[in-house]
Amino acid sequence: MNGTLLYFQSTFKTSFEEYITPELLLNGVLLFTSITLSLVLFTYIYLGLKKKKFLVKDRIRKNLELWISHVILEEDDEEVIRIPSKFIKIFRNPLARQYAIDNLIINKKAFSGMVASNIRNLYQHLGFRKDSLRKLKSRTWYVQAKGIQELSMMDQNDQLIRVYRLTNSKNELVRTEAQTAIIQWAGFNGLRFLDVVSYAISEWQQVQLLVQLKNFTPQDMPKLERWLSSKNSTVIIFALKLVEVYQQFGIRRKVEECLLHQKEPVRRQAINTLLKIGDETSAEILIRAYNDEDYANKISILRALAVFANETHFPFLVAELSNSDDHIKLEAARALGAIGGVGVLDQKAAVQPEPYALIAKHIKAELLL
Amino acid sequence: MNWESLIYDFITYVIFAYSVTLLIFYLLIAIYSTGDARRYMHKNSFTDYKTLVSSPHVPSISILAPAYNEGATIIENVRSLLSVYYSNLEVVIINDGSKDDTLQKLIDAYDLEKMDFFVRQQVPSKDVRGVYKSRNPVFRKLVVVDKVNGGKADALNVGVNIASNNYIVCIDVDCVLEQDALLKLVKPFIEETEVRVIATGGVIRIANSCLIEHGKLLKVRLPLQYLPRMQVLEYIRAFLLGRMAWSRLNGLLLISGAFGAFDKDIVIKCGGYYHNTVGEDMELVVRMRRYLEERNIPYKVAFIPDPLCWTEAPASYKILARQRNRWSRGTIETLQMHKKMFFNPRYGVLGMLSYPYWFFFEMCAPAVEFIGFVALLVMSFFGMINWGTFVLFLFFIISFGYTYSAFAVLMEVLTYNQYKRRTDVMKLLLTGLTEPFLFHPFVVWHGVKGYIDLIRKKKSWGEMTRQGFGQPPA
Repeated sequence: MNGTLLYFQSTFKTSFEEYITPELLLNGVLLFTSITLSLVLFTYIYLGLKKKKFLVKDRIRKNLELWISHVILEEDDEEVIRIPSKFIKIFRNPLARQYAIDNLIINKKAFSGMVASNIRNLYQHLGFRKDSLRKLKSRTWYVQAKGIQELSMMDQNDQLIRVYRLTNSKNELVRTEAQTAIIQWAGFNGLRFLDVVSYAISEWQQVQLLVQLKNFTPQDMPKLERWLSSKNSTVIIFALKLVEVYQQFGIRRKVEECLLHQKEPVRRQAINTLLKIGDETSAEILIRAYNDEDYANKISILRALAVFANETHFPFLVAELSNSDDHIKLEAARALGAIGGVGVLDQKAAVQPEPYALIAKHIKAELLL
Repeated sequence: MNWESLIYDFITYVIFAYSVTLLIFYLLIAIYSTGDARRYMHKNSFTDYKTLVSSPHVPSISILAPAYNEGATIIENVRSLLSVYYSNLEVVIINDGSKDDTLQKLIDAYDLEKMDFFVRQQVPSKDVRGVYKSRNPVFRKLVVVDKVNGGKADALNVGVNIASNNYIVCIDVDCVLEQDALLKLVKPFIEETEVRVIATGGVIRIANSCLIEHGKLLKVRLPLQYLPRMQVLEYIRAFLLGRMAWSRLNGLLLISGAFGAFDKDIVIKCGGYYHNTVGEDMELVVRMRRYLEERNIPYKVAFIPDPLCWTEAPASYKILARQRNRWSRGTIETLQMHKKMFFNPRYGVLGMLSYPYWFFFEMCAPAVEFIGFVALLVMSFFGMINWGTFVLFLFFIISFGYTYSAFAVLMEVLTYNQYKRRTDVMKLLLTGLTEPFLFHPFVVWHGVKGYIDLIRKKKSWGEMTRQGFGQPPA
């Protein structure tokens, strides 16, 4: 080593060597080589551990699956579940416990009725609830969220109040899992978290909640009007979606008020909701709102008019046919086509073939499809 | 001190400073990417995509897939796209004036009929010869557009004009998508509540040697051939480390043209894809970002580390050379077009960090390395080389490169672990050992040739012949 260094030292002749000494470069080479070797070693240790974990899981799976399916499908709901002694040892291993919990969750998602009830009993009897409660208390966000998910999937409804407090948690994942859990436990009544949530409910979360609500029989939502006046604009948007999906015709006036909301996404959702619950009077309201709307909402209004406009609205739609924007032209033509105004399109095409002849043909082709 | 030592010192210090800065960037990228990847993995483990994919409330998407002379594989490719799990989907295939039977094969296979169709001219594009749809309800998602040949950017612009949905996913027609790829790709658009997400990219993986049947990936395998295997390592570094880190900084300049999702509204407002560059994918992202920066609209370009899309990488030196030449030209053209942003504080991270990084370490890298190599030859001819410094410096850089590659492989193993066999991981690491001596000089040389071609005003894409999935390696 010293010989090598002496060689390099003797060959450094410029000012560069004052700052970048051969020792420094050589140490750098040794450092990076050591790090590389350590990374490779760590990669292989990790792969080895992963393989070991897989084998442990596989062994547990073989042992557990048969017993779990037997307990789930055969045992009576009331009957005391006897745990074979070999499992008592297996469940001392946290990996085995987590694997069993995950397995039960998968099964719980797939079954309902007595089988689902048996899965829940098994979860409690094996003491997994304690694991989930411990996770719920964790200060690590993803561990806490995991705890919420497990408790909710296993119908541990007694935790509702504790989890409800987390529906407005500052951590996004904890918050969304808590909201999902509340719906899981209380169905439509769980929507009460909309009263208090101050953080934005993302569109993604809204999709998840709507998918989840599909599992419950629709109920009255007496607070809908209140949610439509929420200070949280995403609560209004979600409430508008609830109105749309569950056809809450009774609060159409309140939905129409949302067309004047200062936030553009709220107005857009209000247009889309009116599309589902509106009537012939909605056309007038939408046309009044049209001129003050932005481009995207104008398109949405024209699409809504295709549903409930009538002959009296032909002049408005014909005027929009002359809009300089091709997309607006086409949507206006589509609305005309949908409400029996193909003749009007033909007249326009006769007067001005370019581009209206093709637009008229396009609309007719769409109507034929 | 004479002029010779002045030149020597200048070159030595410039190259040294350049290298050290680049190494620091790489270190920061590696560290910065891990946090985001870890967070994403934790968060993603809670999402059950299967229950959401059939929801009518997920946003509607239009897939835009340009096709040029793809007759041999087009039916299989379209079948693959149509089979992707997503409820609100439209698949727009744009036949860019193919000289072969691409269009006829589509007409026959999918029972297509030419429709009267008014094409909205929202972004500039060449003439559309016809729009085809199927009367068979099974293929109701499919729209085939036949147009005059105009290149990939022009074909995508036609797709933008035809697309009926608000989000567009631009894809190479021969890519193989993971079943839940679209839902994962669209998630950032509707998950973000603070700022507007304008584009999302996902990890592109190399499909060479993988088992693919009927447009579906059945088994992941490490490529048998050297070049694709080398590109596996290159892609892991670029996507899992580089793009994750830049995305976390909101400084991402590139969403791969092979698979990316865009907010159509912003694409139209920016004028769509620019025809006059071979780097249209990068140019569009840069232009979209610039548009929003100049209007002070908060926005984000997102990136997700999931392997979503599998593509065939060049397996021959000839095709790889064309690809790298084109990438080099595309980068220079894009940065030249948006030079106003260079160290311009008005553009924030984009102007002060992303653009300068791309300028110095992506665009200039082949030139700096090439000049360094020429300087080495000249100086060694005149006996000016301090071989001790040179050898130590070379080892220093190479050893750092190995560290970076080993870290990337570790990240891959810790996250998605696509190559599960230990021997595959070893093969990947060993292939990485050859990179500084074989792959890297080749790529640098063709990057430099890209400069030369740009000066000669060469605009062609260069034919990208693909071997096709399921074909034995040549």
